[in-house]
Amino acid sequence: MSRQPEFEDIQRALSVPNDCSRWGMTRRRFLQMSAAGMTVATVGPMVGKYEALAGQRLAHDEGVVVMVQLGGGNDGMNTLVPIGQGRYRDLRGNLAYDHDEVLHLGDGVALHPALSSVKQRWDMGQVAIVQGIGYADPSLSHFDSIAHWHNGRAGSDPSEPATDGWLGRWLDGLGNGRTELEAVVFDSTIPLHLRGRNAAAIGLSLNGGANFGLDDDADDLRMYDAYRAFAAEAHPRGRWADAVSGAGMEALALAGRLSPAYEGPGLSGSTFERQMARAARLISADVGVRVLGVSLGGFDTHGGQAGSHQSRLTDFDRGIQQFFDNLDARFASRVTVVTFSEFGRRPEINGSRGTDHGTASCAFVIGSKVAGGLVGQYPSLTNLDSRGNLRPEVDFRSMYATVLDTWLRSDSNQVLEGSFESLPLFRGSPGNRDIINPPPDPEAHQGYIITTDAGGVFNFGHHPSYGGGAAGMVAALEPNPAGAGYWLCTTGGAIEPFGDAPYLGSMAGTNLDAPMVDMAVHPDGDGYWLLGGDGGVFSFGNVGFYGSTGGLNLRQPVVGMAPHPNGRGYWFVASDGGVFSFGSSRFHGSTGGIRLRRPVVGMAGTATGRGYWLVADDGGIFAFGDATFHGSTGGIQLARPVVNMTATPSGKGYWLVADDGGIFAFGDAAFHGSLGAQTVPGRVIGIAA
Amino acid sequence: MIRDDAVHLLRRAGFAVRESDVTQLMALDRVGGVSLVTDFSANPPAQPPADIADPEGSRWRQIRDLRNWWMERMMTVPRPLQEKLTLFWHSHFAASAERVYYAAQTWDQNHLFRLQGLGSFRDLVHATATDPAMILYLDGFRNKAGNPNENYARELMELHTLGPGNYTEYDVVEVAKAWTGHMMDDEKRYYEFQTYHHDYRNKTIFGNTRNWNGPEVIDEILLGSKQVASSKFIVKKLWEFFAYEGPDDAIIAPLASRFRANDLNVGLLVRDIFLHPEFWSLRARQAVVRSPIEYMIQCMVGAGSTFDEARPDWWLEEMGQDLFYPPNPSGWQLNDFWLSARSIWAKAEFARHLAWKATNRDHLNEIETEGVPMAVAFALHFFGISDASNTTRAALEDYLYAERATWEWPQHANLLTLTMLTPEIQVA
Repeated sequence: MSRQPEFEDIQRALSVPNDCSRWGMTRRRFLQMSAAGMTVATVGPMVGKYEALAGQRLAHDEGVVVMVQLGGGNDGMNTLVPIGQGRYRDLRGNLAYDHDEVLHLGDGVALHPALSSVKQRWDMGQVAIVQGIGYADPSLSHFDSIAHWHNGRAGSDPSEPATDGWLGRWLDGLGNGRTELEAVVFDSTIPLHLRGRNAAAIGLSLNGGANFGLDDDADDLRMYDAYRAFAAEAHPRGRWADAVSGAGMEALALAGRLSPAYEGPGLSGSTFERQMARAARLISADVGVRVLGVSLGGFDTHGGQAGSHQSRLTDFDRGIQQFFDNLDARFASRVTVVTFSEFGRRPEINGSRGTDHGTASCAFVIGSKVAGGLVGQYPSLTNLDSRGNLRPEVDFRSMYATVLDTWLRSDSNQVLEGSFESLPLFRGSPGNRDIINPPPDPEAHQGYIITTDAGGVFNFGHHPSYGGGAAGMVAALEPNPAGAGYWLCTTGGAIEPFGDAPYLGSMAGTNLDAPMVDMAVHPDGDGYWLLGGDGGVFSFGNVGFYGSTGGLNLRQPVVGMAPHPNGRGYWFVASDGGVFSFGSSRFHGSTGGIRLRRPVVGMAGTATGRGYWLVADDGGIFAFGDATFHGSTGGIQLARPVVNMTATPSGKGYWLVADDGGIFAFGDAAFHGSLGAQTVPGRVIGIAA
Repeated sequence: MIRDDAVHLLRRAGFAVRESDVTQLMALDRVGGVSLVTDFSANPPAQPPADIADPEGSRWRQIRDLRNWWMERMMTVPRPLQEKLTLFWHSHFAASAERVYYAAQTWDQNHLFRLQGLGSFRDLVHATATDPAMILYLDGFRNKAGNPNENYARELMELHTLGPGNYTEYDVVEVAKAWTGHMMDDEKRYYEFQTYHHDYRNKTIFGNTRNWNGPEVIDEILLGSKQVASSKFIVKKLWEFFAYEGPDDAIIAPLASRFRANDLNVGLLVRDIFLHPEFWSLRARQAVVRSPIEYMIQCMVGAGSTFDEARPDWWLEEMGQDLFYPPNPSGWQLNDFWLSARSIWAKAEFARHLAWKATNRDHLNEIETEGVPMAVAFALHFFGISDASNTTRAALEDYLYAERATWEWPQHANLLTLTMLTPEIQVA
């Protein structure tokens, strides 16, 4: 009655507790007992929470990978069914699916019926399926084979004990710039692929963040102050006491950084679904996570496979759905989900209506920048190896190499210690930047773009579009004055950059006192301000803060903003026509004292910085300072209200846009078309030239 | 000895500081004190949970019950050094219960460390070499002539006896051959030497060619050509566990020399360490980070809590010290190994949980009726902290002043929580 270790045992044996590697080197960076540390200890209770939140954002072109392990050996042949090969039915007997049961992908293959949401993404061109993935001279031992996949080192032998994993070595390569959060699992033990020689992923709780550090009762805040004060000074009490207090203070700050991932509605579904949802929220919390490890077990289907495999794949499919449902759209173009399993299963059904350990399987690569389609060849069902198993077509390290080079922008030769062919898995690198590469066009910008609150961006004339889409209702569109691109700003304060517009921070995930209504950009394109409806101003990047009306009780909401052309000030306008000027911007008059027939909805500044226009929703124009009146729709009955305006580069004209996309051009502004009869989702809210 | 010395010895020779033990030690000199803490005759015999030997039992549940039994014994036994050494050997000869077939195999190994932990190191290495838990953990049962498995051979030298740099890769290959056939019965219950699987050809180990058999390699390492390196290796590891990290060779070499002269007797070595002037030096004070178990036991003792009330087992894995499941063959490391964010969060949760469990104790009465400096002094005293820094004391006092100034219901349990989160309680 000998007992074999169970699969979970194997997983544990391949894991170590959080934060330690084989040689006990921890990846902690000790907080230096620096002036900065002492500041945190003395400034006040909220500093740790928000200061830390600001520091760890993901760069706009940094990719995130979610590695999903299907533990136990997923049956590739009933996941990606070779429905077109007659041999399939012969080998699989009553485990074989019929032609009308599966989800057809063409090319003689089909998905298991449980994979409906994967199929939906496939139809959107966002799923690549690597066929016949495995490795030469395969091991059929769970332990050896999963360790081999985790290891991912070129030239390694599955029977060699592996002491580190490919993503762990990638972490090692990040060197001293690492934070605690590049790699995360929701477990107390760290699987081998996420452990390097020195670095390792951190294990976080699935259900609750650490409460420690997050309570906000006055009493708790006093406790945190005291806790920080333990680290206020290095004392002659031994280096370890100082290290303990420093590490404690850092742990307190880390809890604050993670808190957004644990807020919001509770998670539902299986453990795997909840892990995938939490993974998405953690990415959306924008704390610098690059790699997540998630695992779903139970694929070791030696007997009674039909039911158990169905339920595992259903769980998987729902998890994928949950992941994308919970992912903030700002990250959609930066996130890829990759699956793997230690092996596939024997093509021929066994005597227990199951399948035994096999070799090649299939892997899914899912994300909005994925080049959808089949990769590699389906392994032959007639030319099996001596044990009756499939012959692998693609080495799994090719998939790793592609992920490392394209998605993590790393060097796969270094991480994998060898060179592997690249697979056509991605349409481009992470982020929105390369969706369209605009050719240098002398006529570029002779035109305009408009945006809807649903995030749709429409270009007219020669103005290029770099795509659209944002998480939430769009409140503003601003072009990058220094390049080819633009930003969308949502009412929730999220920023979505397009083209070469840099992401410099946003208010997403913070509690806003009022929704965002507009934004303004520094002429160098390296900083911007967001404007709240209460007149609160939030600056990001290389711009200064010159004041706001956030503390005042305004009679009317603020609706629009214009920057000073020198970048050192701004104006904003309230719906009653009241103008507020800050920094270099001077007050040149307003309609605040007159009773307007219609509310003001927007403003634009002149090129000199010595004037501005205000526009009301009936198309009425009010010009102040050196701004010149070139005409308005104030006298005509409009079908739809005007919502915004923008001036031409010369300042000798302007366009007005109505909420149905109608365009009104005045002065030297040329008409390049409008949405006209075209129906688009949402209502138009902004225009830029 | 003075109070600070008594506290120091209790922290190192056990898990926690109890006032009654401090009083007892203060009546003795250092030699008398060390004799007291190394005398295990006062300890009751170890009676593990009854069903540990049931081969049909749920292994996971059996190990869990054994773990809780062991923690409670660590906490309550009069001379805890016995259990602290058992913990040391559990990490040194790491063999995770993940790989055993029967829970009794884990218990047998644990009890081996308890009974022989202060005996001959040579006996201990021999015993672990043929211990089922070790054979299962380091693949000895797969080690066959013609197809040797090097796992145990490597760890025997690298982790158990010599440390890296004292043998070659070639030695690993050859030592593995010497251990071929030291396997288990088919049911994976017992150690069995299967002559059929032993490689009887010559092997060259440490440059010496003959027909080596596994146990002879241990004696060659401990008593033969490698005796200096091996004795210094284990002496240094015990010194770092009991005294401080990174000792000079001038401390280790003479201790190792006496250790060899004493037939590798661990009890005499531990006594030598405790009686070494450097053990009592300033450098040795507060020089070790408490492992989570030590930390939680000190907290429970300070809060006057029982195991069943405090349930420290809920936090063990979070804190990274899942007893019987060491992370890898090198076991748990020291000091900065315990400073992960997750471990720290778990400590904070545990401290808060325990402070509120202890609200019905006399502790709070004493704190509530005193002025701030005296209340803080009491709180530190409860948890065996006789040597708090001014920074820590000031942080606690400032907290209590602010807390009392609110005129709300002062939450003095929070003072206990904070005391359990001071740097001082986390070091030994």
